[in-house]
Amino acid sequence: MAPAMAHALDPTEEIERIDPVLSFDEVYSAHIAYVWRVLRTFGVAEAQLEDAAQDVFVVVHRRLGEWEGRAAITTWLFAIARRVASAHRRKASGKPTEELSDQLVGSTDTFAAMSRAQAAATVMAILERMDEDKRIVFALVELEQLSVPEVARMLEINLNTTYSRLRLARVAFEAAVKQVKP
Amino acid sequence: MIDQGGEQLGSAARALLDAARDGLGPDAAAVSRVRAKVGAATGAGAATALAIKLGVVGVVAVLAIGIGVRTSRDHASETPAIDLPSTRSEASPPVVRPTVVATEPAPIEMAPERARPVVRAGEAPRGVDLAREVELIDLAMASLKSGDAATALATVESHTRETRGAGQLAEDAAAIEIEALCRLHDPSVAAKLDRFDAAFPRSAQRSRLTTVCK
Repeated sequence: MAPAMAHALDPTEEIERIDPVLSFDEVYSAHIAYVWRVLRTFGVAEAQLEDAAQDVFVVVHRRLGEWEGRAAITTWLFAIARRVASAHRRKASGKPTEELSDQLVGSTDTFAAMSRAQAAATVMAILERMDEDKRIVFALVELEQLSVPEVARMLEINLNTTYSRLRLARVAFEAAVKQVKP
Repeated sequence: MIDQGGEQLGSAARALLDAARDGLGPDAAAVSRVRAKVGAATGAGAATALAIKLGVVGVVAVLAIGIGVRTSRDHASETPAIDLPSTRSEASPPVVRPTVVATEPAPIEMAPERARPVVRAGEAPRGVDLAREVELIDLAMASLKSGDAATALATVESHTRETRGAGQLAEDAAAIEIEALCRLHDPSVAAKLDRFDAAFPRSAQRSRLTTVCK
């Protein structure tokens, strides 16, 4: 039996499930990119992303049976990734950060045609200039396309605060996009 | 009056984000490597060990000491505390031992515990406040995620009726409705999408709807 199947829940158990119970491989395949982006958003360095993602999914593997589908899987993964990112950032603290301005490449007229790598580097350069509170809200809403109420719950902050951070982050992002030079 | 997040992003910013989304994720090789390493760390078996040998040569993790990850947040008991590897070398097989010392992350509530009204799709209209809107949207979202598109639709209908279509979370409600209709293969979805585009031309949820309704 695949290891993940060992986490299967008793189907007769009466719990209020938001997400269906998933196997580890299903969770991994569906959400590795999400976890990766969350780790990035929380400031995990490029070179540490694989290790951080590994740490997240080791925890997921061990604890999937306890998740039980009572919270959205993205919320659960977010909570784990947030803590892992915090630990990795602590380890990396003191190391010099990259100069980001050189990464702002591309023309506002040609974003659609930019390579994914170019676009990703440009977006990260912009996001890393935001303070973390705004960056997280912006990334979850605009990149992960979660609803604002959902993000408010994930971050355990007031809905109005979430909207306020989103508004400020959008303004900052728009301003940064306009400064991107060909 | 709630802050609605201000102006939506312009087309250039939206195009940049759309172009960046995939690039911000891992490439296929990284996906395979991480999966193999997780398998090795959790003792997932011979297949994973072979994958490690084939795909992760030179990337071997060891940990001697874990870093206890605990935060001072009040909700520390709801999310797992993790001991992470503090060092990685090529000297030993990969071993990761996360030490779980907490209980599972529980569903996060918007507000402190209080008597919450039971929400049922199809309730009679009543005065609307933001908390009620959030409650209805939460229920609709949860229904959608559990595969119950019909209840999601009924709940969105309640939201629309109670807010007379002018709720602060009307965009969220409309997106949930369209997603539910797509899952039900309802023929009205095309017209709904047109109305959504007209009402929320820069919605951050538009590309998700495109994906769901393919």
